Amino acid sequence: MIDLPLPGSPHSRRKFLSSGLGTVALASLLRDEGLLAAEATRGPHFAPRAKRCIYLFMEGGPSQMDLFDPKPKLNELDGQPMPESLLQGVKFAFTQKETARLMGTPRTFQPQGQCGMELSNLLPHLSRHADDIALVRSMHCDQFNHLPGQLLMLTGTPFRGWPTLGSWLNYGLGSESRDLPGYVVMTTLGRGLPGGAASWSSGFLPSQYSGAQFRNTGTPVLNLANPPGITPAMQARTVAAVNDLNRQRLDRSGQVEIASRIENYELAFRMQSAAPELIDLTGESLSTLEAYGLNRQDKTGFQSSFARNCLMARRLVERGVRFVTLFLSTWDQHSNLDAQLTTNTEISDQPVAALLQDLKERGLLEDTLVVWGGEFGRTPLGENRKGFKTVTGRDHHPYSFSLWMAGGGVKGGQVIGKTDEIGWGVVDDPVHVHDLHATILHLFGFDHEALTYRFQGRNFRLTDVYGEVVEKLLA
Amino acid sequence: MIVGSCVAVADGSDHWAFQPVRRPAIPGNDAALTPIDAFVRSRLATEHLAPSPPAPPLTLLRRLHLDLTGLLPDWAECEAFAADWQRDPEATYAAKVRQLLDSPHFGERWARHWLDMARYADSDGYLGDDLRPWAYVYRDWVVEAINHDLPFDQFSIEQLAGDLLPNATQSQKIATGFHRNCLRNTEAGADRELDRTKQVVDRVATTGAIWLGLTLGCAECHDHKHDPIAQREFYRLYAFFNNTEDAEVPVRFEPEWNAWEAKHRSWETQLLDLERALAEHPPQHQPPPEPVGEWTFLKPDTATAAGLELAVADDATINVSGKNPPTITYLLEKQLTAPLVATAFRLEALGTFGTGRELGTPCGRGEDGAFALSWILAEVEAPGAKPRRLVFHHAVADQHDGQALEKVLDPGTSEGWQVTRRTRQPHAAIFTLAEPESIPAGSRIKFSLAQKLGTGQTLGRFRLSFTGASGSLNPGVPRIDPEWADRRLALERHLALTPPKPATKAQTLTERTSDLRPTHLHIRGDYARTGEAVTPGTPAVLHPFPTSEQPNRLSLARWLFDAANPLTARVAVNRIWQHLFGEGLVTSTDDFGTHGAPPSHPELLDWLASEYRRLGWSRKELIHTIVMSQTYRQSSDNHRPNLSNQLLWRQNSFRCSAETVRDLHLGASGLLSAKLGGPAVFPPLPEFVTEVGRSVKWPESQGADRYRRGLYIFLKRTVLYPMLTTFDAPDTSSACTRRERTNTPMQALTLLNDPVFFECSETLGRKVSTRHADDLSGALHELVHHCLNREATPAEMDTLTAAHRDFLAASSDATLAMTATARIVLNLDEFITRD
Repeated sequence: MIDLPLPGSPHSRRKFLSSGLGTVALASLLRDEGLLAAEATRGPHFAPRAKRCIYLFMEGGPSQMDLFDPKPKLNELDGQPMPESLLQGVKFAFTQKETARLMGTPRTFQPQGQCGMELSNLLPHLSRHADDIALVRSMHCDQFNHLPGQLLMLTGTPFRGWPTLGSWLNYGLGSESRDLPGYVVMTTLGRGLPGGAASWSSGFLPSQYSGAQFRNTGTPVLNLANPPGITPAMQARTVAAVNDLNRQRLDRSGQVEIASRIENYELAFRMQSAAPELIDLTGESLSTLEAYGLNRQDKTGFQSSFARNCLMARRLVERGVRFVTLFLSTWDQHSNLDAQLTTNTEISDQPVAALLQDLKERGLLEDTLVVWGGEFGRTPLGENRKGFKTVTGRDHHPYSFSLWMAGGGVKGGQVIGKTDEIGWGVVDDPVHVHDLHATILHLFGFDHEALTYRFQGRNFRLTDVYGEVVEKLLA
Repeated sequence: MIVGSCVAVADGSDHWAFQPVRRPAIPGNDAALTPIDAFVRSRLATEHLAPSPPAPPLTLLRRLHLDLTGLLPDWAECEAFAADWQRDPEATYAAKVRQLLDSPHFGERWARHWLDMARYADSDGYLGDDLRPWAYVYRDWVVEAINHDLPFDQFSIEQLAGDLLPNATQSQKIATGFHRNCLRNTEAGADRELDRTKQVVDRVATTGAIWLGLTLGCAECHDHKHDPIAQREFYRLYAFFNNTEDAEVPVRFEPEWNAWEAKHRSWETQLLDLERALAEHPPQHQPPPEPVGEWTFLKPDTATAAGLELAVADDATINVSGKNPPTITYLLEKQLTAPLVATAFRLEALGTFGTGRELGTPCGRGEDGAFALSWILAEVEAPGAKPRRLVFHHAVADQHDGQALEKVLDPGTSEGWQVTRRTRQPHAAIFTLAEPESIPAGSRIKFSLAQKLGTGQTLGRFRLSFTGASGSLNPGVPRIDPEWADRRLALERHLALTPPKPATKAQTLTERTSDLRPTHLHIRGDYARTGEAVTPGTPAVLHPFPTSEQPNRLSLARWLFDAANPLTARVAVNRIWQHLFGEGLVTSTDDFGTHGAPPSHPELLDWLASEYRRLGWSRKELIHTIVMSQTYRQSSDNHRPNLSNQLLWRQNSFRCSAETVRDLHLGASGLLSAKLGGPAVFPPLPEFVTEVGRSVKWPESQGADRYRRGLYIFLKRTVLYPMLTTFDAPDTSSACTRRERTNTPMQALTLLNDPVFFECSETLGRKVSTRHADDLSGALHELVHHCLNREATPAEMDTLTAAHRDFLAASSDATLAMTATARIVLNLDEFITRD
């Protein structure tokens, strides 16, 4: 054994530990200085309506006036500058507003379902579910750029280092699945995801609450089989010993990250039994695969990838996974808007509708919340060239955008909120991102002001100091 | 050209990061404290916090190893360090720091940090994702530059503008490969100009993130939303990068060249032996036996074969080139201008020996020059008559290596005349007609020469001729001296093995000198919508660009290191701090703008920034300064889990980076290859990973190359090595200044079950079993020594002993039981953690 004195420091460890301030004095001092965290408050606070969530994150900012928010007036004014009357009080993001022209949509809108919700002809599949969804046309936020906008939508702040919605819900409710992560993320990456793993990070919550990313191509989870010669019993013994030793070190060092490592080894071991069945789609009927559009072929592979992810999302929630996020990062149409929206809806419309139908048929939609939306919308102003006819696309627009929800205690078959004639700003029932978060937490049985985590001397919550539950959304 | 500031954007200019760096006074007057400790402790004191005690010596040794080289010390080194520490802790520590800074593995470790920012990869990205076989030349440059401690200013200038330096050296040109690392879209139908502009935008954004800590990319489409960077200023920076051209330049590396020369010398020696042997045996060829007969060459008007090139020479020789399909039929046609009287046709296969060091030409295109003729068909179409076949009744050849030569007259078989030996000399076969033929002028005569063996053994050089003579004919081939032929053939085979000269290239950038592209603002970032024309210039919020300088990449690079630049030094020292503490003093390492995080220790950051410059931008010296501080040496133990460590009352403990996780496993098991540099390697990859990529080729490395450091793994952008991705290696699409550190069940699955890691367990288990045959305790102690670089506690020994006993009971296989026990240690959180 090597037994050594401590290096050339004026204090020995024992001296260090026994010296200094008394415990009580130190604690109160730190609290005053905002440096001490404390235990958290968890829920649920009342009976939840939703138990699971599938969040379909449409990265890039889908264009609301081509998909969800018909604006006949905008079509009328196509190619015109912004009317003087509408310019009043409008905060422009642009420096060259004198050259900007309004852009109508070539898309047509028809009333759908019993409720008569108007949806674009780019969404024939979703249109059959008009009575299931609550369409919010009055979303708004205050971030112009993708990364801060996405972080705001995902974490309630535009900064890195904060927990995402899925982490909060798993922290608050725990996982229903013993054998799978409580928070799973799958991606269909077109232009990439600016935030990377920050998009499913647990931030300052313990990292066991962070999303587990399944692979977006090939086998969703690798290394599920034991190495040759290692029997399940030996694997169990291995994980037990690893965690025993990890616990010993946790006790010695106080490194809280080890606790997450321990949890992850236990979970990994259980996933080895559960995940092969999860990812094996051979049990799905041909009609199911066709309904989701799994076998559609396109050059990029996005159609089959997103369809597979939608089907995986159902399989995940079916097995008790609390929160599933599917990213489809193809929606940033600065140019070539109509063609790209066609491509995007070809990728997503069918599988999303199939997912709703499938959840419904299996009785899962009742307590599974489905959310579809991006980080912001797009401008009613278009790019204009040569006589204002050649339209290329729309810019980022935080002042109004659309998002829909279904299932999980949401009242379907309704439109919430209204934008002005050209779809610039919200005129009725504005719903800020914080309000959306407050409402989602409410559906899961949480008072959004009471689900907090104490970190560095302050109680943090998903909605920061904002947020009001949108009562109209509740069934 | 007008250079310098455009309309001043005053907004935000009072932001801390835009203020000049001033060397702050060191707080307190404790001369025993390093300046770093003085800053950190005075801040702690204001919060009434005490620093942590130093970490134990072996923890410090492991920390230094991981931070400086990314590799583990072996146990002998641990023991020696501990023994030296007993005598003189401070000197022992200081010497170890110097030793590790001088290790060639230091460059590997710190190059990886830099490559994250250089968005280094071995392929283009996008759908095509073509490979970049020479990308590694730049990667090796980074390793070497860091090992030689190329000062950071020079290091940067060479990468941004090495090509523009006067009398640029090869090394400086290679350095400009830095900005060749961006994504490139080579897909058919992709808009090339759009892709070029995307690359320039990336170069501006990357330069901004790395040297200025600014999110310049936000100003591509519009004025920056919160930092004082106008869109116009973005395009003024863009103008600096708008006139580059990609260039692949040949490079000469002495080691590679020396290796080639050595190889070539030994090859040359063998060649001389072969030449001598040839000269010692003058050929004794013999003329063909009589009678040779009178033969007339038949020169076809056309010679064709599907997908091949058949060239007819003046001497009627036909030379075949192009691909070599398994089977083929040659079609030869001629319109007779004079009557033709024939009793036989002859087919010559015209193999030749070379002379001197020239290679000869074999007869055929098969292996070793072999050829086969399955069937010969001749058809005649006289004017006004129906086409008819000529009937052969006999074939004779000078050499035949197949079965029955007569099969060449039988269309039903694929066999026929075949020559597989002595293929570098002429051979011939005669096909005698059943009846003498007299074919009138104006007739068309067609030959089909079929090769149906399916082996690619097809004639490569041949000629047809005919004779009207009767009586016994022989093929008329001279007899080549077989001994001489063997010697000549041996020589030619050796000649074919000439070691190729190294053809290594480097991906570099050069500057256009003519046909310069003007730069315009891109309205909304759309390159097709050009706005106002702009000249090269730098943002007004920063120090002015010198008016005396020609504005180009070189002067831009120098401007970055101008003493008045408030950002470059701060941003650079912050990243070095991040690598040594797990977090930067400014946590938003790529954003020093108004929305970035404020520094936890502003004076310390400025002191380090001024110190970096004072140290002549020596990376090694700055690292030395930091790791010698008591702040760095603190224990990372966290006995107050609720207390944030922003103020650095302890060291941080954090999981090692993806590459290090791999290197630790390979290192602890003894598999790791210590080889430095060179082309990327392809460790085994599960099949289902590659099945998803388009035309993904993964030529699995063999031998020691399977066990190279993670740094050397081939980075194919569309199919990144999954183990690296699972442990948060960046996706290489844009500059990454700070990696995530996730902790997931997928990581546990990888460490438990990935075949590479299991092989490490097997190797390590075998190693300790062999060394401690009947001593379980010794074997377990050694496992802990190897992997954790410390002694095992009694409780840990109990856990490992019990597990080993259970493994043995479960499997009755001592080897497997030790493998499984080694696997436990390799799966410990501590093993992949830098404490």
